[in-house]
Amino acid sequence: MAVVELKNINKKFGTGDAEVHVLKDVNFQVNPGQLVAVVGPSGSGKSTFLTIAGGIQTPTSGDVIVEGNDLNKMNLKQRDHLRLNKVGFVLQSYNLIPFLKVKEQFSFVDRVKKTKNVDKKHFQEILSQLGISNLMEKYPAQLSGGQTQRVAIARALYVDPAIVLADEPTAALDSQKVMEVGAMFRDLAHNNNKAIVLVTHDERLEDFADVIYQILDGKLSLLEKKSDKKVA
Amino acid sequence: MYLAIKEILHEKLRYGLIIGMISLIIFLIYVMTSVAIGLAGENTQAIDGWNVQSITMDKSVNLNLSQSSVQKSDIPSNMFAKENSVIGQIPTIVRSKGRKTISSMFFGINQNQFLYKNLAVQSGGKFTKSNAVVVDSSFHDNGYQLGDKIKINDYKKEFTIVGFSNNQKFNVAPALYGTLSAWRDLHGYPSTFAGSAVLSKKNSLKLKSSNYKSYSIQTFINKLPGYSAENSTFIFMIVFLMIISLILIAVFLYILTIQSLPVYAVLRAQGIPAKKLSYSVFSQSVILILAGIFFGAILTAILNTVMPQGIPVKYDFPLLLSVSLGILIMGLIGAFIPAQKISHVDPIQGIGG
Repeated sequence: MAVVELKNINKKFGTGDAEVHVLKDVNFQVNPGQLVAVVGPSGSGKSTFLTIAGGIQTPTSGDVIVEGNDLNKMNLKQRDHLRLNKVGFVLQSYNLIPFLKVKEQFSFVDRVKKTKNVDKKHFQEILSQLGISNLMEKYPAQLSGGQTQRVAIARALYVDPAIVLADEPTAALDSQKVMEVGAMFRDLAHNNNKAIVLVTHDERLEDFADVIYQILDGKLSLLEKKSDKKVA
Repeated sequence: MYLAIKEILHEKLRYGLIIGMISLIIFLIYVMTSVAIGLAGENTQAIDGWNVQSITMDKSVNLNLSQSSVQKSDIPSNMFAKENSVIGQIPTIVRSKGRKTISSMFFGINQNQFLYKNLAVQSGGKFTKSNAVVVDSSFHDNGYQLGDKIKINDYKKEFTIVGFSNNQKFNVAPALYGTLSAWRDLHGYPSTFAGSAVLSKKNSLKLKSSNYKSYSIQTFINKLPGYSAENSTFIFMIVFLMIISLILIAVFLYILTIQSLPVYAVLRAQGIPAKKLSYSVFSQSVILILAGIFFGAILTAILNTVMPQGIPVKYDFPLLLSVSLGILIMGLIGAFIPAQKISHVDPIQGIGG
């Protein structure tokens, strides 16, 4: 079963002459153990696609199914619960709470989502893989852009989500870290059976993706499918 | 609460300044409240000490005790028991050689009635002669001593201070207690005058003539010159300060919330319930107010140690606690708007690009 499935999604903003049709008849799905990259230029609708897939925004028409739950039939509270428990977001900006130390970013999650977060051993592996084990006592303002991005990735993974939705997750990373993060996402998908969707400009991430979609003027099209094993 | 505490600890200067301002306002509220209570107390100290329920006086004098008089012939002969006491009042100026001249209030009381019997004397003794008086202890604070000879108004004879009694102020003026015969002499009244009024431990008292009326002691207090206006002024100022503290909290929290909206949007995007984030704002408000109350109380305690004598300040802790609770409620009301703002934050604002 697909972790996230979008069926005939349309999203329009504004009305009349000011109407903008951002997503046009988008059909998409991602399965457990699959890393999907969605590429496209700025303004193509990537972020809108991501927010609809994650239940942050509702489409004008069409269905969004996350882990078998039809988001159209869920109220706000149920969507909050779904995002908190099933979805890990890696956002472009303001990813971290500025007045919490790195370690407190995670302990705060424990306070809100008291169970089913990753265990300590796995958490240490994530920190080590992202190279942020030594940053636990620092505040976000004391981190470089790349460090902030990596902590945000760790934060998203900490809730042990079924799906990770990442918006430009490597925007502030150097080439070596891009490779490491790409490999980490791939391993996470393949070894931990997570569904991962990366919305990105970064062509280097395409090497790690199982499926690559392109989004242009609101239309989503399949660019490449490297493995049929996990693709529906 | 966790987010609220962490944010305050991280932004020490910003929140320190806010707490400082709230502390100063709370300090001002505490001082104003205590001065109001102190001043009200100085109006009614003597009356409180009488411990009576009603006062019967000339109904044509608009509850002005100085203007009232009761004739002996109007008092039923069988009336006086432990519950009733005649009192005569006259505003006085007390002078003594080498001492400060003091504006005061003379009360004539009957040695056989409860007012005399209940008169608590802290030093010296009660008067037994018509040229002796017991005076409020503030006379002692102004240098008067037991045995001092004093002149009252333009009366030719001298009086002797035979005792000091604590908390005996009436309408802010220190009281002197002497005999009813001295009161008549000071007024120049004939012996047919019993006194200014009759105080009773009962709710009302009926005299022989219909010229008199019984009033509850609270009605009498409320009609003391300046008393109600003074209290209303203080209540107005205190309420106004509380409203200022509400506005201050609301504005600060609103500004801080607006600044933090992108963070809250990200948290909402991550599925953190809006209720939890709104709760954080309310918690912040409670912490700020409690810190303000704590430092406000410390400032008040410091002021108390350096407060010059003579300023009528009385710390009524249950009342100050109620005022603090009122400020806390104001703070929560102040947090309502920013909390609403957060509960309606669109998670989409957390998505960049």
